[in-house]
Amino acid sequence: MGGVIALGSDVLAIHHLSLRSDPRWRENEEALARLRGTPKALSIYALLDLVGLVSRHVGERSSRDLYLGYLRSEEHTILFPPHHDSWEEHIDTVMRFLARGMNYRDALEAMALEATPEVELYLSWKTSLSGRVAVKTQTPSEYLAGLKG
Amino acid sequence: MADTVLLQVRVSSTLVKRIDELCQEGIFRNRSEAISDAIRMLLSRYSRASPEARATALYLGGRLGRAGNPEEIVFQVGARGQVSVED
Repeated sequence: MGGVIALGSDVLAIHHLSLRSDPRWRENEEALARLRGTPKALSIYALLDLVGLVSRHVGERSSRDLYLGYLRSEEHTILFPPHHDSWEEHIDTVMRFLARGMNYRDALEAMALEATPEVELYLSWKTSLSGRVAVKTQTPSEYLAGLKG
Repeated sequence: MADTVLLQVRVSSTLVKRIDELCQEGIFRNRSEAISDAIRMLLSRYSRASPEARATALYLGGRLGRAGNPEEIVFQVGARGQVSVED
């Protein structure tokens, strides 16, 4: 896996759920279109977030199929951070991320991103990880602006 | 004794030490009994596993076939009303 862009669950959810009335829709679609055909990544936590949203708004079968679709995807790598055998180890690790001032969900995402040195950019509408994770973060809007120079 | 097969496997010395400790505590009579119990648990885990869990195991082992782009899967949900991806 070379330098890859990791996608947040919000970017994928806006796309998969066709949220056309969302003010972020157009730029969200444009950013994903620009990335089509290139290697991308998403954390297992982002994928499970997405699966939960699809289960709620579409249905269980579709959410399970989407999970399998991402595991089998030719374009996407799923980031599985090291798994802990004990709660003590998990608390020890996650506490180091929580100490940076992020919530637990962000801490899990940050753990997955930082465990994968090949991730060069994290693309999400959430800005809560910005400056708190050792990976450059951008919104799709900022990403597109960067492309247009 | 039930029909048994001699199984030669390489196991880290750390694991063997921990197994021996369990034997010394009396939890298992010997290494064979401990490893047989572990194999039974492993088989039970996979016999109950969902298709998603089985696929995840294959993915992590690098043995899941790769095909297609899931971004092509789109659900027409947005028109139904307020949906928040931040929930």
